[in-house]
Amino acid sequence: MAAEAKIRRRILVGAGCFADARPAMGLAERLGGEICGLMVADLAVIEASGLPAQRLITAKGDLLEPPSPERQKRQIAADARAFRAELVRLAELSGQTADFQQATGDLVASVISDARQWDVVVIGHRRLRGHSGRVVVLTSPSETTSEAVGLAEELASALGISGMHLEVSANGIEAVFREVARRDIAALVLPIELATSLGSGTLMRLLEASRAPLVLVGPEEINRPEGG
Amino acid sequence: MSDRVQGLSADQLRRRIDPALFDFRTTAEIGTYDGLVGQERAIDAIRLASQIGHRDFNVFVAGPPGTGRHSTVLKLLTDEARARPVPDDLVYVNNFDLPHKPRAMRLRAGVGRQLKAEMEELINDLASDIPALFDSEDYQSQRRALDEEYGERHEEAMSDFVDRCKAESIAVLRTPMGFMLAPIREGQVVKPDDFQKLPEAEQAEIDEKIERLQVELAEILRAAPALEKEHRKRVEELNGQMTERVVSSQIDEALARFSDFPQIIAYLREVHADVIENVGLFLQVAAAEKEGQFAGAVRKYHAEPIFARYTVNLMVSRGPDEAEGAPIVTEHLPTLDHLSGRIEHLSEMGTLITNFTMIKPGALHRANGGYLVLDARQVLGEPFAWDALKRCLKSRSIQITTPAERLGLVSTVSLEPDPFDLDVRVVLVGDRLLHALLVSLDPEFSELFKLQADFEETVDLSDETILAFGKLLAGFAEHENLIPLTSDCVARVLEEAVRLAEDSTKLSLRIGSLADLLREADHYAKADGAKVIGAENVEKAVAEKERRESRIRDRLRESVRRGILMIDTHGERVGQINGLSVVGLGGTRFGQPSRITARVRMGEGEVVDIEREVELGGPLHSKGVMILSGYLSAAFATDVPLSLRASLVFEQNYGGVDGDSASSTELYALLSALAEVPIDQGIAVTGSVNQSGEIQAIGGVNEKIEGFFDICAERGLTGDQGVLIPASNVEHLALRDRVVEAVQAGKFRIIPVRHVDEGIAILTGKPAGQRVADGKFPEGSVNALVEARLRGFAEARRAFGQPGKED
Repeated sequence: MAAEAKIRRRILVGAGCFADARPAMGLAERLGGEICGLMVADLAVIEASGLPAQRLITAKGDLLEPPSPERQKRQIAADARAFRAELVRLAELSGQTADFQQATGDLVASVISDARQWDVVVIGHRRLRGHSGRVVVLTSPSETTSEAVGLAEELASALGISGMHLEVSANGIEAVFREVARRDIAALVLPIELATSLGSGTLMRLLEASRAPLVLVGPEEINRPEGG
Repeated sequence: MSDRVQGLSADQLRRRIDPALFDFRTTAEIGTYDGLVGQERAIDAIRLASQIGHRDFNVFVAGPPGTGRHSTVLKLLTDEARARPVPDDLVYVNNFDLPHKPRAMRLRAGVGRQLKAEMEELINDLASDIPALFDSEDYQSQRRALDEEYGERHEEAMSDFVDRCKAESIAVLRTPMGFMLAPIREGQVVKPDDFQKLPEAEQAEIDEKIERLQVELAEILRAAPALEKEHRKRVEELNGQMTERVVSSQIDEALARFSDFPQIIAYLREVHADVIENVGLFLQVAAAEKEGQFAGAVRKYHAEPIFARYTVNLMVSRGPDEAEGAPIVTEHLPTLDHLSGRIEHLSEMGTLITNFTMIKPGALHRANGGYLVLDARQVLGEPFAWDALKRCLKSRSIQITTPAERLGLVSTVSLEPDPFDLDVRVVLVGDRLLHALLVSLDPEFSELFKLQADFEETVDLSDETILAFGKLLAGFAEHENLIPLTSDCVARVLEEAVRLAEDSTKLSLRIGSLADLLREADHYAKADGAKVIGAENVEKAVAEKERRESRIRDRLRESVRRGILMIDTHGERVGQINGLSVVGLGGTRFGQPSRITARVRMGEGEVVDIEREVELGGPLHSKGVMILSGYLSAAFATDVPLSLRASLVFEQNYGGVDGDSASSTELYALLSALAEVPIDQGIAVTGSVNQSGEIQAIGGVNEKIEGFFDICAERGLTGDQGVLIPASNVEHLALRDRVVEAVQAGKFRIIPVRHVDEGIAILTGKPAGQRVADGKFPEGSVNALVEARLRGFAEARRAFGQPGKED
């Protein structure tokens, strides 16, 4: 068989907890490459449990007493261990070493600050449903988008689902928010350049609106040969 | 000893078969006969069993091995089976409702095989067509539309909720364990400390909003599973509709082909429904295939374990190359499994599992509609086999059970297959003892085996039977690819049949032994380059067989020759005589002389059988000694108490003795000891005696005579030597030529006797003596001497008992 240059991506998976990280890891595994993990716990969430009327709403719709800050910290520690273990498992499958870091603060801001160092950055968001949804690629008319579109197609093919193309038009980003909020999305793909230009606040809103992992694609990622 | 008794003439010692009786020179010139001679009664019984239509006319074929029982049974059944119809095919198929109770189908011959092929083709086709259908754009677009519809219905609810939260300045926070809601001020989540600083009214307003929105979010999340369920249902409906199109077109073809078979139609409809319900199985195989090494290759999908549920387990079907007619099955290892079939298990993850494809047929399945031939001893020797056979015959159905089930040891998944109806005729082949035991001990046996085919061991010797036997041997030679037999050879073989029958008026029907003799003779003839088997080849086969089997005989003879075993063949001895016994080891029999001695003295009327005392004598031997004791006490000095103590012994016998054939011999030794008259040691004796002194027939007369003759011949025949045999054994004589020739030359004698008096006179050379008018025996006769001795013992005993005589 002729030697074919394979893509060996450097992928960063960022998430606030393991529930958000898991679908992102799944996407990263599908893409293949060297996967690193970053877990950024949002302390505001811990503090929010101290509000008087606060309840925890589980994914099944149960209303529970909110966990204490201590319990939340223990849970964050457990999630970090699970995140790292999953990374190690994936790394062993591809014969690589796992790199994992943990921090507190704003996840999106942390990730976006050095996003350009990576070929692909996946910001995790848990899936509330088992449906496959679709892969949506978001581009800007002013930027090169072929890498993001190519990766979105690759993902859609790997997941066996359809794709959809959205563009940040003259109407602005609000129209995009409305569109993605009503779609069943498996992953929202956009160029890193667009992500950085949108800024962490807008990116956070995109994450919340799409309720799906964001996949940020670097400009050179598909041209990097394996081992290169 | 001067009045020498001549004995039998040479022509009385062996029945000669005249080759001139046959109108052929070799068997190649005559028509063959592959039946049996003299077994008409047994043959009629087997034929009745094979033809009669009524139930339970199974047959027990009884007789000794080598009489042609098996070959006769097979030949008769084959003749009958040809005219019978080919039985139905037997198949097991899945019971889709109750998988542990597989369905039995009995189908016209050949249809089972067709159904199996049809189902294999159907599964192969469906395994290709169904995944192709699900890969088609037609299906994919419908499925995508469905997924998107339900996905977006859910997302809309969440989106609306998020919008409402935003409108009310509430943030949805994701935590590791779920969601929490928090108020927002200037784009930031309000911390609890800051919240406390808010006016109470505002706090209350926020609390109310949070509580309300929490309930709303919980309701949205709770609704998701219901929406999922509805979605799954719609997908299943879509899959069902799509599959239905493919399956219907395939199964409709099969339904048309089997329209005459309601059972198959019903089964195919069940298959139709099951395929639609389990369409995932076909997709799984397709998915695995895509990942496999041979993706895209044409495959026999029906062989995949996942499709075992659609397999047709063809238990019994007559192949196109197999003979027409009803089956004849001979089961040589009739274990329970081999008889009634078995349910196999596979070990999977440490658990034993099974299904209807692992039901294996037994001999009863294969013989259904025909005949089953079994060896009775083997069936009875296999655990649970006899019981299972009877149960199946009684219920007329084949029930598959395992020994573990019978013993209550089953702790794994098993099946309860529908039993097949049973219509079989069972032929049990065994010996007469087994038949007698079954009749007496098993009350069901006579009900289930109403017929007995009893094979004769001999047939009367006549010109007719001789000629029939000739044809039989010719047929055997042809069947076994032997070279032709000359008429001399046939005659010689028949002489051997006479010897085997131990009766000069009979021919043995132990065809097996004669067949082996002919095979060996054929070997020698071919080794000599002959084109035919002659009498000399048979003679050689007989001699070689004897030589092969004579190691122990030769060692015993050697012991006699070297004086280790003491046997006198000349001279005279008081109270000592040569008895004759037959040693049997497997199929080998030879005669062996034994020295028997008697000692007497005064006593209380006891004749001590030393063999019995030391438990070396069997019951028949003891009976013989008691009978001679009875003769003695009734024949002599009946007016005085029998005041004798006698002891009898087989000298140098260390291995035991049974039978009463030496009782006359022992009596002669006793009479000699009492009369103090010596016995001629050149004469050996065989024969049993009754209480009247009459000599009765015994078995093995030929071997006994030959045993003594060989020892005499080795030491040199004197002409005075011989053997006393019961007169009633004369017609059993079939002696070897060496003995006949010695008698012909006057060197050996075979003397028949009817009464003890005849025998003792020959042995002692003195007349036995008959009581005369005064009730006494003639003076000097053996009997007179015996009586005088006994009377003397009685007198002495009386004198010994009187007072004052003790000193």
